[in-house]
Amino acid sequence: MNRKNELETHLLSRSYSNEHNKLAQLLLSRYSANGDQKSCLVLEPTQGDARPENVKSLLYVGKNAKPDAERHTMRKLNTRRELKRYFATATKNQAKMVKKLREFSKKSLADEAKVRHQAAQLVKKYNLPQFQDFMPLHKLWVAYMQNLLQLSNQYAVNNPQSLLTKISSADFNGAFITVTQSVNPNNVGMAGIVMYDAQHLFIVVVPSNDSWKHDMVLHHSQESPKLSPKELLGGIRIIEKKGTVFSFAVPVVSEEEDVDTLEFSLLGSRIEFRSVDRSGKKFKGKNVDDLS
Amino acid sequence: MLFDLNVPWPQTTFTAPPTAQAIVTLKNTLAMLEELGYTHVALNFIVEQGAKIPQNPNPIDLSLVGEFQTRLNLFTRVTLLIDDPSQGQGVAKLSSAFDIVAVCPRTEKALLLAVTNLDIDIITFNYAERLPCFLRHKTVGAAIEKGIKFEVVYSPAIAGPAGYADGVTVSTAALQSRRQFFNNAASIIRASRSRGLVLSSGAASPLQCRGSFDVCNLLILLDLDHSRCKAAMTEVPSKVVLSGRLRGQSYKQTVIVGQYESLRATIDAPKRRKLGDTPSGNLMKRQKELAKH
Repeated sequence: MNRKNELETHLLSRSYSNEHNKLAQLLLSRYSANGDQKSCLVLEPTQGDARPENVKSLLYVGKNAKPDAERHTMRKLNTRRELKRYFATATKNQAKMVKKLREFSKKSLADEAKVRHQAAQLVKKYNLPQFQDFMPLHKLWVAYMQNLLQLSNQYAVNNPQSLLTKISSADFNGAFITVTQSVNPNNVGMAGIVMYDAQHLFIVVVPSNDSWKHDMVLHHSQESPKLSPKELLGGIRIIEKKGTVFSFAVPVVSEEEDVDTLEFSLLGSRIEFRSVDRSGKKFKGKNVDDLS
Repeated sequence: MLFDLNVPWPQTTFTAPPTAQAIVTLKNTLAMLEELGYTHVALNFIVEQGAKIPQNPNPIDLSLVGEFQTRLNLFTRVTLLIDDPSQGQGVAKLSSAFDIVAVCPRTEKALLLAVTNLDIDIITFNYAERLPCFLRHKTVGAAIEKGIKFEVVYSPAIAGPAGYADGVTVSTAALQSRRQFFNNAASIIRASRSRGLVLSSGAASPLQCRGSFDVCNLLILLDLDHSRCKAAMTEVPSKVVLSGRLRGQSYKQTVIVGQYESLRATIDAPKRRKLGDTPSGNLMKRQKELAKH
């Protein structure tokens, strides 16, 4: 190797101005095949032990682990399935209660106060979901809707047409819906808070006097309405979306009674999707022969 | 509910407003229809395909027939005459401004376009002239499957363009018009297998209006059975109005503002309600009172 390494010599001469030997040696070792100035990185443990002592495999379950069957059921617990089970038992209980109340009212010969008392007792006993329990959920929903539609903005309030896109992909859990039209005449006039927005159904909770009868009777006479056992109990109602039109109102500002509202109608036949799917859904107009 | 979805609006171009005389005639026609028991009437504006569409494409001013707004459910309708499918641009521009969108194809190609591609409610023809082509059940059936209805206009059968020429013999033009009407109506009834038909008057004067049973009689002659006749003036046009209004007023037929009934009833449109007056607010109020006791 007959390189003179002028640049390096020049630079190093500043540090080793008196030691020419040292300089020559440095340059020699720097460019030799196995000099001591070769750059290298040595990895050494700095702190602690190299390896913890009791390492368990990921599959290790231990001596005190739960038995296999129990772990299996734990894994099978699924929110959706639990919800389904909850609705199933609640509706079953409700049917039982209606039957009991009907028998009771037959026995007590139209003593309405007694029947009402019995209804309250049954509700307590079977822990039927009550309308009042869902009022806070509805309040949350109203706040969510006002926020989503930006109702503080006056333009949005004056042009409700522009809000429809957002509503079509909004969440209706907690909405207060009224059935205005339905292929099932029993459902017309039903009003309640949505507990669950399923693909083909709205599961709503209605107050104890859920029927349109209340309004009708109040308008025409002073008598209190005659309520059937089912209406007296209230609770869960399952309403099919198909062939049904729902309406709901969103108060513009707070939730006072004399506040302006924006009213909308939902065409149940056209929103038969799970609320998750509906959010990203591209809707398409169709033949309207199935709408009444 | 009795529908007449074709009362011509006396205006042929976007720019020229209707004359006062024409408005009087229109009012007479509407009064006649009301007398005959019609409840839902659509005012029809006919546009040539080539016409330049202005910023506000709806020239129909319902305030000119203001007194009928509380007596009849009035809708606006546009009928686009299509010759050449390659220039079929207008429909999308027009559809948002009118309640009902109709198309009158004048060639076979235009008919096929209307059936396959256009977002419309009604396909109509000029019943006083020959149809653009032989109507095949496949084409007509495809349209009905999509929800497009076919309109039969009966005024050519009773009006005729000229009437009596010399006081004794009917003019050849009037004869021709009537003959064509029967031929055309029979062929549309055959091709549609009596389904998805809408009967409307197209009456330019009060004399051309007919009561529903008279129209039924006329169409029974052409092999349309009685129940279908009745449906063609009640249920089917009701669907037409629904689909047309949903196009403009809803987001893809999912949500509308206000009440569902107001889509088909324009009389006394409901006003914005206070929360306490809505069913939900009412019930909430009652619940709060109950909670107090």
